[in-house]
This record gives sequence, C-alpha cells and structure tokens, in this order.
Amino acid sequence: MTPTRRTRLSALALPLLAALFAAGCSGDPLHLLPEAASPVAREVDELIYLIVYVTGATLVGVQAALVYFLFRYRARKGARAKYTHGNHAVEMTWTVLPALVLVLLAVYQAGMWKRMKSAVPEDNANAIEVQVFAKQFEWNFRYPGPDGAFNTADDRYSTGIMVVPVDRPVNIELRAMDVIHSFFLPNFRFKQDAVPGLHTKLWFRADKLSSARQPVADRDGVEKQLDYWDIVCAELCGSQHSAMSARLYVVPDEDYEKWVAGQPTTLRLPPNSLRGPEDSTTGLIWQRWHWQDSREIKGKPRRSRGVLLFGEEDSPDPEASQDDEEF
Amino acid sequence: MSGATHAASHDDAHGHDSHHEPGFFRKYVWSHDHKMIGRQFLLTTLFMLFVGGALALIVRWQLAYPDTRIPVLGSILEAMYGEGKGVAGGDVYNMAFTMHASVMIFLVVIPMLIGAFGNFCIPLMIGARDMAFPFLNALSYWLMWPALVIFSASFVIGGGPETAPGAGWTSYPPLSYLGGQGQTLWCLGVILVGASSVMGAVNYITTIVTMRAPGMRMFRMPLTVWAMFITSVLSLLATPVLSSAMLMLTMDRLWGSSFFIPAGLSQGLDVTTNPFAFASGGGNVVLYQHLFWFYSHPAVYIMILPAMGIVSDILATFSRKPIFGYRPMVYSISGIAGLGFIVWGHHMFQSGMNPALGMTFMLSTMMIALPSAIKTFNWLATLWRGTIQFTVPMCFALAFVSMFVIGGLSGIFMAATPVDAHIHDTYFIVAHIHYVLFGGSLMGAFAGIYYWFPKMFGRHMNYKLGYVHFWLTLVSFNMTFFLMHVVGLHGMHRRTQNPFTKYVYIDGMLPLNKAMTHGAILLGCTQLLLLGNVLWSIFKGRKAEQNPWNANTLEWSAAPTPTPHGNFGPSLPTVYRGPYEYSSPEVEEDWLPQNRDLTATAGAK
Repeated sequence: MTPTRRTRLSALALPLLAALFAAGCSGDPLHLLPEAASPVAREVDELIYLIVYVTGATLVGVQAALVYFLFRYRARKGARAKYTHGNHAVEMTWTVLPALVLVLLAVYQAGMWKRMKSAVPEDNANAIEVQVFAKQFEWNFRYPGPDGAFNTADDRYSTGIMVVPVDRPVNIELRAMDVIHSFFLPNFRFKQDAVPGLHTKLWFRADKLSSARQPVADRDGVEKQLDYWDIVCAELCGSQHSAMSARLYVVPDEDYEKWVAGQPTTLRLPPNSLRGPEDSTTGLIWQRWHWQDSREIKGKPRRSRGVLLFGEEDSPDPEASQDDEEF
Repeated sequence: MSGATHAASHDDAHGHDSHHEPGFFRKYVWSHDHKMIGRQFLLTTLFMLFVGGALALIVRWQLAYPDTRIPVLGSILEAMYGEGKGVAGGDVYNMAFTMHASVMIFLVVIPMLIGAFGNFCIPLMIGARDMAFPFLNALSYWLMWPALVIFSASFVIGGGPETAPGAGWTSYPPLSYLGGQGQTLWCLGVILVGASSVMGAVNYITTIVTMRAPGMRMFRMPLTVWAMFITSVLSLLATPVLSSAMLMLTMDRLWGSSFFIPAGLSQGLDVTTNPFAFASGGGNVVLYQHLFWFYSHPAVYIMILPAMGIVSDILATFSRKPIFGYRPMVYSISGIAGLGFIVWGHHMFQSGMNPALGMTFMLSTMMIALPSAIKTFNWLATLWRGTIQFTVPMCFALAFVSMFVIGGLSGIFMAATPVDAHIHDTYFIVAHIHYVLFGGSLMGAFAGIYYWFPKMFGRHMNYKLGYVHFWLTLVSFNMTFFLMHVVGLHGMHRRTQNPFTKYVYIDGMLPLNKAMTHGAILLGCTQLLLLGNVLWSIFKGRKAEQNPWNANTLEWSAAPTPTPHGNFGPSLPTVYRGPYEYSSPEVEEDWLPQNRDLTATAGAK
C-alpha cells in the first residue's frame, strides 16, 4: 500500500471510529463532568463526549505517528533522508478531511446553541420569571410576586438563595450593578456574563431536585450530601470573587410557591449596599449605590476615589452579608 | 532599490571599521546593530521569564495550600507590602495572576520571539547587513525599559496590594476602572510595549520587503522569516487597536471620559466633592471587550507564528530533509493570520452579545483550526523518512509539535459554543492557553535559543545540561498543565484565590491542585538550568565553528562566527535556491547551502 493511501484511510477511519464510539455511550462514562441537572446539560455532555472522542482519536493518532517516526527514522549510519518537497494529493487530503470534520461539528452544535441561548424556552407558557442582580460579592434575586409583574409592591426578594420549581423553564433577566460578574451553573453546563448596562435574557429548566444531588467528595475523600446546586460567579469581580457563591434549590412546585410567598417584599441588605428610594426601572437602588470593593472596605481608601466614595459612610463589613443564611 | 544603496554605504563604512572600534557603551548598550539588539532582547526577556514565573508560583501556592504563608516568595511580598502580606489573600492573589499574564505576554513571549529572534535572524537569514531602520530598532528595545519600570512601579505605587493592578491581564472595565493607581500605570505600560511592537513590525516588514540579498526571492525565504513577516503585519494592524483601548480606559480612569462606563455607575459619588460624579455614563462595557480581543486574539498568533517558523527550520535541519510542503506552510501561516482577525468574538460567547453573532464566530474559529492542522501534518511528514538527529534544539522543536497538538485540539472544545458555556472561565481555558503559549511558544523559543546560541554568542551551550533541562521541562510542564483540563471540566473556575471553602464540589479537587503546584515548582526551578547554561556558556562555552549544524540558511552558511558588524564580509551572499535542500541528490553531503554556487564549484574542479 502506498503511504498516500495509508494516510488517507487512517484519516478517514479515525473520525468514523470516534463517531461510533460516541453513539454507543451516554451520560458521563469517563467521570469528566459534574452531575448534570437539566436536559440541556445532558445534551451538552453528549457534545463534549463527541469532541473528546474525535480529538482524543486525533491526539492518539498524531502522537503515535510522531513517536513512531522518531523511532523508525532516527539517524543511522549510512542512511540518507528521502529528498522530497511534498505531495499535492496528500496536502489536499489532510486539508479537506479535517475541514469536513470541523464543519460537521460546527453544524451539529448550532441548533443546540440556539436552544440554549434563545430568550424563549421551548415551553414558555409554564415558565417562571426571575430577575438576577449581581453585585460585589453576592447574588440577589427578584420574583414578581402574586401579580406576576415586576416593579410592583408585591415583588419578592432573596439574597444568596435562588429557588425554582422542578421541570419548569426559568426565564431570567440578568443584570450587574457594579462590575462584570458571570452567572455560572456548573451542573447545568450554563454560564452567562452579567454585564453592567446590559439586560441579558436567559433560561434553563431543571429536571432534577436539588435534594436528589449525588454526594460530593471533599478534599479528604469524605462524601458530603448537599441539597442545593451551586451558583458560581465565574468572572473576576474583585478581591472577594472566589467567595461570591449562591445556592440554587430545585424543589417541587408547591414548595416553590410556598417559599416565594414567604419571601420579604423588600431586599434585606448588608449595610451600605442597596439603600434609599426605589428606582422605577430596576426596583433597586442606584442613587446611593456604593462600590463595595474590599480594597476600600479594608480601611485603606484610595487617594481620591476611595475617600470620596466612602467619606461619610459607615464602614461596611463584607462578613455581614448573609450568604450563609439557611434555607 | 533603497536596500541596495543601504548595503553599498555599509560596505564603505565597513572598510574603515578598524579605525573606529566602538567603545563599551556604544557596542553593548546603545548599539544599533541588529545582533546586539537581539541579544539584549534575549537576556532581558530571559530575566523577565523568572519574574513572571515567580508570580505564577504565588498563584499556584495559594491554590495548593490556601491562606498559608508562601515560602521564599512570601518574604519578597512582605518586603513590598508589609507584615502579613506573605499570604496570597484576595488582593495579592489578583495582583499575582494579573501581573503573571501581563509580564509573560508583554515582556517575555512577544519580545523574546519577535524582539530577540526576529532581530537576530531576519537580516542574517535574508542576507542583509542590518535592519532597514537601525535607530528605530534600538528605540523599540529601549521602549521596553520604561514599560518595565512602569510595570514594576505598578506593584508598589499605592503602598499595598490593593492598589496594584488586579483586574486580570484582560482588565475588563468597570473592575479596571475601579482599580487603584497601579491600574493606570499598567495601561501606560501596555501602551509603551505596544509602541515597541509597532516599531519592530514596521522595521521587519521594510527589511524583508526591500533588503533581501540577490537571488533571495520571497519563496526562497526560510519559514522563520516568513513567520516573522506575517506576524509583523498582524502586529502592525492589531496593536494600535489595543493601544486605543488602553488610552480610552486611561482617560475613563483619569478624566471620566465615559467610553466604557455605563449609565448609573457613577451615581454613588458625591457630587459636591467628586468631579467624577459628573461623568454621565452611557459608555459600553462590551465595547472594551471587542477592542481588547480584536488585538488580543491576533496576539495569540503573534506569539505562536514565530515559534512555528523557528520549529519548521529546526525540524528540517535535524531531519536532514526538505520541509514537507513549503508553500502550504506559507499559505497556512497567512491563513492563520487572515482568519485570526475574525475570530476574536469567541472570547465573548458568554458576554451577552447576540448569540447569533456567537454562531458566526464559532464557524470562523472552527476554521482556524485547519491551517494549524495542515502545519502539524506537514511537520510530521517532514520527519517521515528523514534521518533524525536528536540534538537539544530538535528535542524542544519536537516537544513543540507534540504539545501544540494538545493545545490545538483543546481549542476545539472552546470553539464549540455550547461546550464553551460550561468551560469558559474555568481551568480548562488556563490549560489550553498554557499548552499553546508555554508548550508552544516557549518550547519554540527554547529550541531557538539552543539552535542559534552558537551564532549569537560564538560559543556552544552545554548540551548535557540541555537534555536535563529538556526532560525536566517536558515532564513538569505536563504535570502542571494537563491536570488543569480535568479540574476545568469539573467546573473549577479560574482567578479564584480560595474556591475550596465556598464550593464543596471544588474542595475535592484540592489534591489535584497540590500535584499541579508541585509540578509548577519543579517547572520553575528547572528553568534555572536554562538561565545558568546561557550565562555560563556566554563566557565559558566551547567555541563554535561557523556552521555547527550543517544548516543551509545564510546565517550559518554565509555569515562568519562571531559575526562582525555588517554581517557578511565585503560582498553580500548570492542565493541560488530555497532554504531546505537537505539530502539533495545534486551533492554528496546531505546539505546544500542557499548561497553555494554549484556551477562555480564544478568549474573550479
């Protein structure tokens, strides 16, 4: 067999094998990912595995060829290298084949991306609405209350805890109140930046109760039973960025209704964060908004801006935020 | 034409060389000679490599042993910031990873690959006596120094870590708008480095276009020169955009110009005392990201293309075989550069821009994997049926190919938008960038150092030490960065100084983080072998002959070692063929230099 044909055959065989492999598996056979808690997450996992197999096969193929060549063609006495400047057919093969694989991958995932990111979920009639306000270093949530509309007196608020019903789409409007944050749900394979000035629409649908979460091992290998999914801030937002977490509880419908009804109609806030008269467009406060970066908090105001921001204010304490509040 | 005149005037000057031997300062410090400037760039960036590495170890220590005092480096931090700051708490940690990336990108990888190797190699490889603009060349090196001083000052300007730059090397506003004075200095430093890059780029393009030796057609240039040429075009077109973004950010910070500050954000300020309170907002945060990535994505190619060129030359030389598919290699370099300008949006899939736009960027990003794949296959085919010599530069070049494949393939995960939604801003990205920029660019740079050192300093490096350096680097590199793919897929997000306490699901990854940190410490210490080897060899290395590798390109075949001012004796070399005529049937030996005139030799016999 000529080297050209051999190359062509193996280049064809690898992605094919990979695709077969991918079709035969589902879930997370290699334990690469956190537990999936939504239909979209499972779809994404399939795509991840498809890419793992395609790239994995390519990786093994290329590295094996490399090592084989290094061994087979190491300099030996009297050997002379083959004098060749290339081969058009071979070049065409390894240009067109990867191009096809890449385009197929791109087309394959396009629909998934659309379903994930479109503002309206597939079954919107049953959806609930939540507004998410990110600020240094906590997540605030607003629910419309019994009248189903935001910016009314019966809006319900929560900080650090988000509760949604199982098997119903959740429509979110995401906003940031100071710097950029990112709303990351690892178990939902979902992430969206919260950008000041943008009102970003997103949605997800949980199909697994958070109380049914599988135990998670800690650093000593001890398994811990958690009853919430994690909400993570994934975009650097200041010195306490790594502590900007919240909990997402996925509960049966009736528990959700009960919980929302029991939430306060004003936002309970740590000192010096959201205070003052209510703004008609956000329902939250811009007027007395303060940058609450820890660099001022630690009592070392910056030369100009820090003093002016915090000059007459009581010094806020980041520990006072109630994100450990029990549900 | 101008090239020819330049060369002629050089010839005149050359004849009088003995009359005015330059003094120490003229020769080693304020030199206009491209070779000296190349050496200056190399030694400066090699030093900065350790600064950047130390910053990385601060980050790694915190992730393995959270909130404990850092050995050795902790004392430096305490000297800078005072008691108790030897622990990488929030601000120190943010400063460390911000400056690690900034130093590595702006003061190590770009100036090492382009400043050091571009300067040293381009005139020698194309058969020119110097750069087109020697003074501009010197200026591009000396602009590095104010940048270096400003970057250093940004650590300590406000007296504490909270005023040092801490918004990441991407410095997205509004966080960067809020940062301390160090952030302003950081912006200015980046503007200066950018100016330095642009000066280099103008110089390289002019030199390559106008000053090639007789017979050196574009398609006879070594791939290193091609890579430098395309890189310079990228750099020339993209860098001004970054500089503008930095200037806009600086103006927002200093004078409230509201380019990037959205409405509402300045309303917490007290109007009676604060002039910034009048900044009315209306700026766009996402605009900065577009401007930043319009430069910074091409910047990744600015950092990898020269390494690809260097590696191509080294692979051909030590396989004793012509590079497989010379023209496809050139076209794929150009293809990467062209596509490189339309993929910046893949850094912003989750930023809130229209998802339909994300789909467009996804397609262009998938496509940019193609020229990289073509290059990889051509490298493999160059090895096929060669006679491979495992010299130290060859080992690093092979490591480049092997590691770059991993970095390239992991890029496909990110290009897939639904997958990116999960792995964006996690350690998977950190793994990817390090496989490309360390496993790729730095491995290529190390290969280049071992390869050109005999020409640069007239002496050989110690190759036994070189092999030790190679193996330790390869092993500790993979130990550090491969595991990052694993924790990244598990959802460990980046830029967090202590995610273990808040997130139980990340807590389980602490043992892996420890392993990575141990790898990183080994990796950092291993590089001391390189530094020691370089410094020792400059003075004590074995004297090098003119062409120790039996290479074909002009810097080896035509320029004497040590290379004098003017590079090539009284007349410029004439080029008769391409750079990769290894094992040619025309001659008995397995190399055929570009400047060897076969008709003349035949006549003499």
